[in-house]
Amino acid sequence: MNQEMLEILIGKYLDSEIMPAEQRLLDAELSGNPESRRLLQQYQQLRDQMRDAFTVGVVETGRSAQEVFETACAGGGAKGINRTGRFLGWLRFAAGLAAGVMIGWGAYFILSDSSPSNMPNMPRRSPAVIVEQNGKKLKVAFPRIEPQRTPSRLRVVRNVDWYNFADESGGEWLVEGYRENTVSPAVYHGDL
Amino acid sequence: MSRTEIKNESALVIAARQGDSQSLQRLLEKNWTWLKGLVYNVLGDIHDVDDALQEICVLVIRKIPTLREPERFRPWLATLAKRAALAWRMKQSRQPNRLGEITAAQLSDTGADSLCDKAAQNEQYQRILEAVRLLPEKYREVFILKYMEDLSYADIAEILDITVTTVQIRLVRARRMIYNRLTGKPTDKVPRT
Repeated sequence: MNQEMLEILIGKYLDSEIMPAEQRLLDAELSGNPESRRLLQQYQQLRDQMRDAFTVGVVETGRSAQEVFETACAGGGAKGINRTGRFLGWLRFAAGLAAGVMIGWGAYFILSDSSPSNMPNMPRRSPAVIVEQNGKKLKVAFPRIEPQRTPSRLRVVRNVDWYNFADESGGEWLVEGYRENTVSPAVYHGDL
Repeated sequence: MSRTEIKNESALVIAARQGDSQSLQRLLEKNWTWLKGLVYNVLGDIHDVDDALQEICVLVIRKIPTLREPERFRPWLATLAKRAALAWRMKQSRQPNRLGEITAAQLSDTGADSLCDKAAQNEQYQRILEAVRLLPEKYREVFILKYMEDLSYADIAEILDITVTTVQIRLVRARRMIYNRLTGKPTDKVPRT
């Protein structure tokens, strides 16, 4: 057995952490090697002296836990509990308030971005469409219908304006006009 | 620490978090010796240790409601105590370690049979404590925890938040360093195991 292994086993033995298999190894080494026995004795002596020194010098010196705890409580610890509790209460309230403000602010910006007043390049003049019927092209102008005011939660889906149009032959047309100033092919509803 | 003890300690922590001062006192009493050792390791003066422990108690009382995992009370307490002790040491602006000198003065009160025995014993204690004082900090704290309260490797590992193997290795190395110092062997480097 090498020196390192011996010291590990002696250490575990002295600290009552040795396993049975390790104990057998150590016993075999100690029985055949007087140097190892001497090292064990010296480490054992060192451990005992160490314990005595710490017991006398540290453990049994100074005030008891109870005494220190009571002094700590009297000297501001108990007040500290209340202060901490109050502080935590205020902290929670402030955090909740801040979160509410942030959510409200975010919602305001999201909804206001989708409102008609913020749409870029809105057509200001009345739209016109070219309608093809029986191979004949008709240019039709009609008054712009202002979009109805709707609750803000519905505005996001109102990206299309619809116009009714009656041509010269009496046909009725439903015209779809996009806000982005584009026009889709008209749909003939006269037969309906 | 057995599973039942851990459960009991966790129950005490839960009660203490809810403001039960008796539970908190019991918790501190149960962990007092190693806590004292940990602070002593940082400060080296038993009188400072008492004052620092009082501050640590105040901190524990204030901060126990913030402890989320009751079963990790001991590592939480150890971290809090070490930080508080370091802050105390900086505040006091003293030399960090005077373990040997201070304890030697206290050891003069020990009851030995004769003056010679007493002097020899004190001298030996001084030499040992001086050797402990000169250990690198991480070895010293493990060593003090072991020999102040005879904690198991598992308990030391839990308190310091390190592995059991690390505890075992540090103890072996610390023991060898102290032994080498006391027997006059070279101790410049941390020995390898």
